[in-house]
Amino acid sequence: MHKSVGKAAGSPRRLTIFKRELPLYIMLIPGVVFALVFNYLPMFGLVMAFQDFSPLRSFTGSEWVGIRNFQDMLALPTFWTVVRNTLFISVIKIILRLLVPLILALLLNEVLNNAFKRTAQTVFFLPYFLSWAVMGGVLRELFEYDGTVNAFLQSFGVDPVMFLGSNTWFPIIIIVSDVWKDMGYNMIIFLAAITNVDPALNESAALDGASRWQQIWHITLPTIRPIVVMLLVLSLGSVLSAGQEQIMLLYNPMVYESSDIIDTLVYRLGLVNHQWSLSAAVGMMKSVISFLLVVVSYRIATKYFDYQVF
Amino acid sequence: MKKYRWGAALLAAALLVTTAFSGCSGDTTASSGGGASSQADAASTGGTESTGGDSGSDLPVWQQPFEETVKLDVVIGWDSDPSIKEGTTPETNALRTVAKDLFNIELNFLWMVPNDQYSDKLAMQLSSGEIPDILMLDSAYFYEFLDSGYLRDLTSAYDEYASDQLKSTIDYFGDAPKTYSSRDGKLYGVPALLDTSESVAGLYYRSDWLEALDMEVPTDIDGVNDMLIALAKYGPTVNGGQSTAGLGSTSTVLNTNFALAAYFQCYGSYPNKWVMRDGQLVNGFMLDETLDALKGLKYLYDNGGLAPDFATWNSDQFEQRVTSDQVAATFGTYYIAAYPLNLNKDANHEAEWAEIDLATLGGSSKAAMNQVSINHFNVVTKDAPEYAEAALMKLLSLSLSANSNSTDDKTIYNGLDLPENGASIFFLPVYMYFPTPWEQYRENIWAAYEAQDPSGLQTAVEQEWYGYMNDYLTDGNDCENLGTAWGMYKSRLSEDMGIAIGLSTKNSGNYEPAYYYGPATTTEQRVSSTLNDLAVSFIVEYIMGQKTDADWESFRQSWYDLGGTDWTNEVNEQYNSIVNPQ
Amino acid sequence: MTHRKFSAFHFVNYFLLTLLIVICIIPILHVIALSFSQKIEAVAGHVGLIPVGFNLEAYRYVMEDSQFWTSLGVTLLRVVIGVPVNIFLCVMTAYPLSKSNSRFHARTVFSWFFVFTMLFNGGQIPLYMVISKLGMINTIWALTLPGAMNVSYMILMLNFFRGIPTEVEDAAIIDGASQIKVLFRVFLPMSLPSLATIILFATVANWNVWMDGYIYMNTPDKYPLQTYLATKLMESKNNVETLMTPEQLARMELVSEKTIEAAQIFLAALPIMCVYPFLQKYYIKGIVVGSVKG
Repeated sequence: MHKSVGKAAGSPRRLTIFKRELPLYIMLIPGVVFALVFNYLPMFGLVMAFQDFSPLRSFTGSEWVGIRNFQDMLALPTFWTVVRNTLFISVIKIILRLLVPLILALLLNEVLNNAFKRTAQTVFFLPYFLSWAVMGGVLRELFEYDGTVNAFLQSFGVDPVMFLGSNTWFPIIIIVSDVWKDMGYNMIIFLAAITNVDPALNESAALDGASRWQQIWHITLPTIRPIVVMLLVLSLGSVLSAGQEQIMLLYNPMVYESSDIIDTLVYRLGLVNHQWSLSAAVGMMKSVISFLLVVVSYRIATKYFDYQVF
Repeated sequence: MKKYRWGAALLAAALLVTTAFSGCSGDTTASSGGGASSQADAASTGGTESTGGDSGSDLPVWQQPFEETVKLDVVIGWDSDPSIKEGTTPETNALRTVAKDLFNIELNFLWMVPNDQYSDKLAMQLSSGEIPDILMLDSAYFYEFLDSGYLRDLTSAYDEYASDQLKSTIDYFGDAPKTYSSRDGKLYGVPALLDTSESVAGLYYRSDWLEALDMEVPTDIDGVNDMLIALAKYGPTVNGGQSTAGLGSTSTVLNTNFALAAYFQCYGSYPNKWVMRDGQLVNGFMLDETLDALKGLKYLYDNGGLAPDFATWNSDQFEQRVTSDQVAATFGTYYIAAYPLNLNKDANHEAEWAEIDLATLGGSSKAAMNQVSINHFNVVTKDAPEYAEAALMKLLSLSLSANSNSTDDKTIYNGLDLPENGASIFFLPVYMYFPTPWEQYRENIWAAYEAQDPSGLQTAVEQEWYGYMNDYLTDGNDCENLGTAWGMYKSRLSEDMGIAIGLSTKNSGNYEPAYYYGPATTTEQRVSSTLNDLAVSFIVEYIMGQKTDADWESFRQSWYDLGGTDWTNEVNEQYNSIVNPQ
Repeated sequence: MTHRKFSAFHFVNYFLLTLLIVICIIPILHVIALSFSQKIEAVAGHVGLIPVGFNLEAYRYVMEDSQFWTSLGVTLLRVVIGVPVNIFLCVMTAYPLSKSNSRFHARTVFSWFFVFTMLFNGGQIPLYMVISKLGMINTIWALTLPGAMNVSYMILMLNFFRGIPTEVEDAAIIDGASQIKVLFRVFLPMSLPSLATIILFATVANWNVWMDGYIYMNTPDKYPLQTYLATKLMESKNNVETLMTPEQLARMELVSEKTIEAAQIFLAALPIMCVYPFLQKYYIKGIVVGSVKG
């Protein structure tokens, strides 16, 4: 609506608008400068994807090879398996990384005992502080063939399972442990959003006889819906990165079939001689696809939910 | 192994030769260090009368200082070293002070990073157009630098300033290393040669368990398989019922230490090696024998001789299981007795390990041996200051001389070479491997032990090993620092384990040498990781039963199709150009 | 209100949450147990949640390790500089972009301008070249400035700002306040829970990043704590199997320092774990935004 107003108006009106909004422009200057210097300026490096890049020759001296790096990427024998794995693992991670923290935040919000609430919040955030290097060790000890979980299973007469070498179990472990490690992060965002819910609304609903469930469903959830949609759209930006650091610490040739992802494959291919250009080509492909996904989901959110994500 | 005895006579002769040489070449060679040549002249006048080389004034050329300070911008990959004085860094390295005080060379560290970050950091710096004055280059970079005209000619500086020790280290391995480092007869890099002949792999096993089983030590590969299966079955009866691996291996199956490369070799297949077949170099993993080895592994796996979950192990798992008595045998080089088998000894004093010499196993097998390889090239880049070439030679000579394995007289460093004083040759920006005369040292140490008199041991390593050996042989399992003492003794000094086996393999001649150790070819740089990945996946899938004999040919075909053919051709070309230079 | 139904729910709720608390606390307990254990027991994998062969050796070692404390200083400096810059840029950009398009016509363009930087980047080498040209290599600025404009924090903050009714802004403007004043005097005090969230994230991020220490710092005495710890962790994880040179191997046996690693990990995580309880009061209380619908 406002757009049509802007178009109808002549340039003097535009000038007035600009003058009125000038303070907002000025406030943006520091952020814009930082983005230009540290994000846009280095983007000249994207040309690497079309070069046979060598550090000694740098960007000006390296040979131009057109789309050969992209052809090399597509020619990798396991490329499509790896793309499939990446999408599978990352889509499930995206969904659970929203759902689990959301449920947690709602459950925590129902806790009446403040001390318990505080403790639980702090503890749920703890795994986020530890690096995957540490967590990887813990997970291995739990799930290895003679690890804690198998010892537990055996005490019930269940045959040990080779969790870390199984194409069924390995992706599950990757997904669950990732959701568990980082659940504190989104949980805190949701908790902060829930505190924005006006208690007066809940009180008046309670007076009208609404149950706790109804209050959550009709008041809390609609209030934090924009935050959920926003996190969902943002996470689409990383849909082709399924957690390289985590998988590299745990995987092995037995589970390449199910859990080798784009980033781990590229890492292995550059292990002996760093394949700068191949990595750049893969990175660019990931960026373009993520960008398209974000654009589409942004449009959908605007059109169907009447909500501008950012 | 050539003996490096630096007797007084040899020293004196060397002095005469080098001083005489520098005396006459000083005015003919344009690039010879003007700063140092007057010193050299001064030395040559005195050098003729003195034969002992014990007075400060007649230092060998490489030890003489520059008149004006040579300032070099350098970079380094390093890891903190627990064996030297705590808190020592490349900047506080006592040898850096030596370079300043003795040679008048100032090392300015542009940056230092942990070793595994080195190549990335270097790539970033090179991209920005900042190139260190002297540095170590791996073969891929070396040839690129050379082709782009970034390297300085080292020929005359090498002739003039390299110590005899440096020259003999390089010449010892024949002409090939110099050929690889030269273009049009000019030397552009000093190759750091890694002699790994002593580190030929053997099979280490729990001899206390084998004894308890009342089994004979096997003499062929079938016997080895049976032994591994039996040990896996027996293990749980003595280690508290824990699951036990007959043969322990990590998931990186093609490695030599704690992995399966040596198992393939028992069948006559040589992963990661180029072998000569019908006058052509062939990748050792593409031989028909590889399928036999795979069948052996499958048999072993199906009968419990290989841990069911071996493919999920990394080196941490391996270390943990060895330590807790869950591994009965593993392949490895001489060193693994000192790490990580020593941890097992620490945790369980009764544990005993022995080694099977793979060269003596019957059948088609031969031990695989990397005689020598070029780890890196030490170079001077085009914009380096004057005399940087001479400085490089001096630093490399220093590195060799200060090596704790070297018999060189260390008094010139005023005792600074001692690790306790914070001196490390690894913290210098350039590095040469020291060709340690193992056999000689073992002889010396044994002689000292029998006489109970270590005073004749010249080098720091000899004295160190002697100490451990004496502790272990005197006090047995009750000795102090049991794991370390046992590990050092078993890996370096005992007759039937570790280096002794490597050396006897070399002397026996029953080994498959590595024919090619030249620069990484273009195709190799591009595809070696892909091909290695392909091979590892195939091995694991074959062992697990997901691939069968029928898939072997198609695997081999795709290995060649994905770049293996080009790689093989390039290696043959390179090899021929070295062996039959036009 | 049916009191009984509630307690049944609460019972299940408390049970579930307690179970999760246990699951989340186990790794930390394991690390602590390792740090107090005998070295050889730690290597042999005998340590679970209780120390085996209790001793304080590892902590004594860390206490005497001067590099640990130097690096801790660098990290603290980084947090003290980095977090305020983060937050400043975040609120300064989030505020204009939280306006509706009719109040700020260029809003969408600038939003995409920032979001684009989340999705595309030139890679490590060109960024290094830029930072090097700016002369920031080996200074604290290389650690704090390149990541200072964090777009995900900005979007988060922007969405929280939107929850504040426009009437609040209008009232302030009528009173003669400038936009800057509206932001700092009105919006920020009303957004304490979200501000606390961003501060927490920015602090944790600044505390935990380690790669940039290697890339931009030239000497170890300038490494932040996590970079220094990564050096230690990697040393022992450095693919032991592929090590070839006797010299490299000779160092390995001295390096297996599982207990010391554990002590360092715990000590390094300790301060940052204390940040959360400190900021927590802003979540529990919450801020009453007012009864006007946003």
